[in-house]
Amino acid sequence: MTLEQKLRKKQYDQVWQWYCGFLDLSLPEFMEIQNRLMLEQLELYAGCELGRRIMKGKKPASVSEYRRMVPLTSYEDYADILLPKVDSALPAKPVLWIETTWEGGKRPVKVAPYTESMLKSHKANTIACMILATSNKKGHFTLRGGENFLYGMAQLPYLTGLVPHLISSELWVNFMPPTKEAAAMRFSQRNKVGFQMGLQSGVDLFFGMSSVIAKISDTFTLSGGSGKNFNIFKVTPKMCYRILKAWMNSKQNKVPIKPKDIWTLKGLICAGTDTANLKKKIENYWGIRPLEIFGGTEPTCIATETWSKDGLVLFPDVCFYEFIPMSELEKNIDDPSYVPHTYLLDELVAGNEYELVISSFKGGAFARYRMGDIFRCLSLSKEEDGINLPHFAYVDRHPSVIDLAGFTRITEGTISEALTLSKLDIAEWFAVKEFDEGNRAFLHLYVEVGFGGLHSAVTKDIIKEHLSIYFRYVDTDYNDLKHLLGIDPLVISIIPAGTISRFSDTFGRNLRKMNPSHFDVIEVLKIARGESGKGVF
Amino acid sequence: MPFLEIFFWAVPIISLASYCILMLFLSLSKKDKFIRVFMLVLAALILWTASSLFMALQLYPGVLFWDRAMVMGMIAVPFLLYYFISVFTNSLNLFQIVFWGILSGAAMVSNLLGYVVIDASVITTTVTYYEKQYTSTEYYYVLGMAAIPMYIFTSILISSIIIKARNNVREGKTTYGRVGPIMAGISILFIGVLLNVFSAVGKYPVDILACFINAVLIMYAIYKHRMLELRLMVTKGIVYSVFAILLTCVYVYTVFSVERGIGNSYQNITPYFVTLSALLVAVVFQPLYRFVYKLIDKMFYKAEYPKRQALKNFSVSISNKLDLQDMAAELIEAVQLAIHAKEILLMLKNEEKRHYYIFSTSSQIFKPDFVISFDNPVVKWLISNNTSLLREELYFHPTLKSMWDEERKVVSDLEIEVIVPIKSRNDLIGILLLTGKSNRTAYTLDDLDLLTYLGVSSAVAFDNARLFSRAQSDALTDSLTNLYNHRYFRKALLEQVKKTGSAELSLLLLDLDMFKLYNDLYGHWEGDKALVKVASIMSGLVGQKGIVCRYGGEEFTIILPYFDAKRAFDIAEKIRLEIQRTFFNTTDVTQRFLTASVGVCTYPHAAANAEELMKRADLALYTAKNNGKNQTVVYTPHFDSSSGAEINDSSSTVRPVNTATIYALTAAIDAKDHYTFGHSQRVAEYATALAGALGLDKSYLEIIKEAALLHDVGKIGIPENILTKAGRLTMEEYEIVKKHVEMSITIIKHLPSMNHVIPAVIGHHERWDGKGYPRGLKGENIPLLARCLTVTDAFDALISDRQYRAGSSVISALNEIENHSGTQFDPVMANLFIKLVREGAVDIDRDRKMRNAL
Repeated sequence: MTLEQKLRKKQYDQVWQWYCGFLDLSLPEFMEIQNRLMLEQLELYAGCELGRRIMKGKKPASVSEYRRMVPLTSYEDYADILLPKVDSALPAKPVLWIETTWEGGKRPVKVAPYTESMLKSHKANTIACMILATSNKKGHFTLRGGENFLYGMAQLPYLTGLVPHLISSELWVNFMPPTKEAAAMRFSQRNKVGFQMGLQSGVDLFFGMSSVIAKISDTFTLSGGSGKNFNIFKVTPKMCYRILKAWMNSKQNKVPIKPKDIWTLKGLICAGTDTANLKKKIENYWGIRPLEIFGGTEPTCIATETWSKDGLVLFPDVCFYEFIPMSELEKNIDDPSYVPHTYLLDELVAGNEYELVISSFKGGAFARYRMGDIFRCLSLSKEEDGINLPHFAYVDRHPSVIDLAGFTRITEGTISEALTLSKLDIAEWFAVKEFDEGNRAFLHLYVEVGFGGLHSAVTKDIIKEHLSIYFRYVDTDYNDLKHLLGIDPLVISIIPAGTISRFSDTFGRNLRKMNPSHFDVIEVLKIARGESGKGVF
Repeated sequence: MPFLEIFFWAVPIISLASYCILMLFLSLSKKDKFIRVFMLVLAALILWTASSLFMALQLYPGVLFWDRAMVMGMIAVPFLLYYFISVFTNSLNLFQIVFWGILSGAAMVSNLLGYVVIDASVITTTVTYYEKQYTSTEYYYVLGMAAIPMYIFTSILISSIIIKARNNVREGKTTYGRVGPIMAGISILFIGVLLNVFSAVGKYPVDILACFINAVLIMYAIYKHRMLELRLMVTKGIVYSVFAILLTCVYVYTVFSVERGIGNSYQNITPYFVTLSALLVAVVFQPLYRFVYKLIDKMFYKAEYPKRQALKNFSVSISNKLDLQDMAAELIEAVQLAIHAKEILLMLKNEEKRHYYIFSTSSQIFKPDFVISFDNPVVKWLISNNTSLLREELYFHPTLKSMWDEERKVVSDLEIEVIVPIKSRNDLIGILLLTGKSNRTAYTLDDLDLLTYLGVSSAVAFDNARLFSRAQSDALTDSLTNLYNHRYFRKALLEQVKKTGSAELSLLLLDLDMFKLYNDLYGHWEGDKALVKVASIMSGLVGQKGIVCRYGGEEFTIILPYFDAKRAFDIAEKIRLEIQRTFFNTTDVTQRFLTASVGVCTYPHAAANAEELMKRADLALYTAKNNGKNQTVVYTPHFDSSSGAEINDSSSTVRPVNTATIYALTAAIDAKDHYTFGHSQRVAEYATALAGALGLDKSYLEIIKEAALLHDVGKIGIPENILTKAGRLTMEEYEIVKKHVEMSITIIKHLPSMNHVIPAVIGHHERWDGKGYPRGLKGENIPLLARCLTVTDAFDALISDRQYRAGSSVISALNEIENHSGTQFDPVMANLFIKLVREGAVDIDRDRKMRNAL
């Protein structure tokens, strides 16, 4: 029986239990699922080339032995098998390959294999997210099927493109724009057409990148929504009434129309690295608290918020989770040869931050794979909701990566390449992710101009102009930031030549190029001010 | 009645009845917005057909009125269908609805004003043909100026419904299966309406026929493709009420008819007649009333009846059975009767192998090697829940998320639909697996409840039957090894010899060598473990080819039907070598060691009957034992001519060889360590004296003498610089010296038939308080002969000179032994030895003199 049939038969309790019942698990039950599925994965690894390579030809008898035996991995460890899509070397036959950006310029894409079993879990977990998005109390939800679903996410071969295809077998929802048409549209066009359709027929569900939702909400006006394709004659009576009411209210009170004046959403789902900063703003615009979810190409969707929408809970059957504490991560950043210790879900401490390490289940490829995402463990359980599982908040990417609005991941390599291509005489630099007054992230690049530059017109604007061009060249996603979100993602500050080397001399250690600690940045800027006497300019 | 007349009457009646039934179903269903809108469509269709029927009946106020009412229905139906399709496919558009609504309203107003139908009548003509009269009824009407625009409008509206539905199918908002029959119905309706324009055809109710076909197609779409999810709420009460109303109407009608019939003629007696007739009717109706009520009962419980019967039969029969097979068959039959599952599989618990295995099936489709292990999440789920599990739940239930794909695939491959626990308290005794139902319908909640009930109610009976079966099995099996026991062996041997006839049958008699010593050395607990291990080796190697029994103690028998002597010898050797490999060939000297001797005899070549077979196999075993053990001997007739003495003689030839070896080894250690020269010899004498004083028999005296001579043989492997070191030994050196015990065992294990000294040798450095080495045994857990050796070994060490000290006097040595009695030494042994020395029963001086002379 499909989900739609169950909903029609009003079997809401069973639907909740099936899809959201994992929230009733105790931590030991959760860990038992983790351990058992990991043992299944070890069996699958043992029978394939990739597994034998990762486990060095041995077969761990237990999960703890696996954790001792297998080193932490990154995408490089899989690239020779995954990029050419060598199915035969994998633990199970993939039915689909999902793509994403790897590292702008140098390594454009990375791909991940998805087995049939992984897709089943992903489907169930995606539906769980939809149910929870439409819920504000345990066991109560308003998803009924046939909803108008404004879908503002990327299409296949990106992970988010899977959702419409997966859930259509379980539940009919009216994707706006329809999936087939959306496939032929650009990202911005899709959003525009989706909104126009939403104005005509109403919107019940909305799934989008937090940064995109915030941007759309910022610029939302009726005329913006009713562009040249907007056909007033296609508007449903209900929407006609709501638009009219919102317009009259706007005129009467002289306030701009907000999305919540026109639409009453059942659920709003958002994702992206900046979600924490934008959630309140989105709630204010849409009148509904958004449900944050977290996923990635390698692990699929692994966490969702619950009905109270304040903290991510991990799905038990997607990946095996390990956590690197920040103290260990810092050691590893300072000394890349240092192997950080990992801890399990039942060993975490509330309030601490951890980097997530995953091992795929159900024939996936990744073993002890460093996701590069940092989470804060908010609490080990939530008594008021009756959930006995740890809750997390997404903090940011690994400090070596600067993720802007979930669109692009800038690494040291990306910046170095852009600097090299620009032929600007930049002697030293470091980059920091910062936020503007609208809580939007940008890349703040501090540069020391080299000897040649000191004798030529290497101004802040010239550097910014050059680097913007080359960032767009090496990282295609960078372009979308300005185009889609209206964000100016690059801020340049010039610091006096020799500042960074003086920092090293003073503190006896090198300054990290990507996201040095907040205190190191203060110290560098102090040195910059003290020695030049001019401050940062 | 001519066909056309029937057509004129019957078509509207059938159509109207169909719509009314459908309306009744819908009104009894749980309603959602789709059902509500669809009821509006049906209401319009009812108006259409009812008006048509009333027109044919020429009911008041007249044909023209009902004709116009029919046209109202004809206008309303397309509009409401359009509205329904819009709601159903979630494509409701205000402007379109308003547009069509206005046009439909205008058409209705025109109709009411008489611009659509100007006049209408029904003409009945009677024709006489060949002396027979035929009546024909025809419907005549005159259309007005608004008729043609109304038809055009209706046609456009119906076309747009079809286009809208088609577009929605293309956009994936719905499927053709769900709206296809509706579209076909509307198309037919459209044709029917169009034909009305032509009065030659329109004078017949073709539009009503189209309406009827449409109604059939709608019903088909709802039933087959679940266009609307109907959840009927027809209760027995509603049916009773409808019946009661009908009956009351008939009753009243009957009484009134009587009153009218009689009242006209006999007005005076009418009240009496009416009362009487009412009573009579009541008497006649009462049985009818009861009959119909029973019928309703049967109708409601028809599906339940076989279930109730199956449950009743099962409850009765299961309480009378103790045989597991019978019970399994009863359960499967009950489930099949009640549920009609295609295949049923009963799995029972195997505690030892920690899984559930197939015990009984309704057919042979299941793989016999299919098992469900205890750690399968389904098992845990069934233990902690008291309900049956549907296959689809395997993918969704939170605690079942830990299932492996392989585990789910097995369930899926076997087409299992329901998993039922057979649970007594919290003990999951068995699992019942069911495939789909033979009528291909889904399992209902009632089915699941019934299955769970059957599982629970049969669990106690199954548990009892299992215990009974175990008790039966226990009477024939050995509780320690789970092999058949002596009783079964006697019976089986006779049966097998009889069954084999003139074909070969071999009997193996296996006895563990020196098993008593093994028990002494490692304790009875370890001895039992060894017996279990040996039993498992034999069962594993023999498998289904023979019958393995524990004859008693450390003796086992194996009946091998159709095995000649050669094949029997081969399997006996395999078993013997496997036992040797398991227990003997080990580098760790503290590991167990054990060997076996086997006697083989084959029927009918070497024995005429079962009794002879047993005796001769025993003789072959006896020969193997006396020939040095750890070997297999096949019985040959010459054994009968050899006397027991001869056999004993042949075995005794082994001993001089051993004695020579013992002395050679003693000499080797004496040569290596001059300070301990003669130590073994002296300990042998003291220990033999002590053992004699303890009252041990001659064979024990021989063993302790040999053990004493060999107890330090392991020192051959200790570096000479440590053995002869002048000062005190360091901790490391002491650890090396301690290893001499284990080394002694290693050497002794390789001497033929010297295993019997091992318990004494391995324990001669154990202490009474448990602080000794190598095994830290305590008190009487230390073998008796070892305790004997400990005292005498220590005594000789105390009185002997060492490079770093002179030997103690006998008195101080005895004092020392006395001081450590109860801590280092067995107090009984220590006191007895002190007494023996003090009484001069042990000649110490002779030994001292001999040593000094050397």
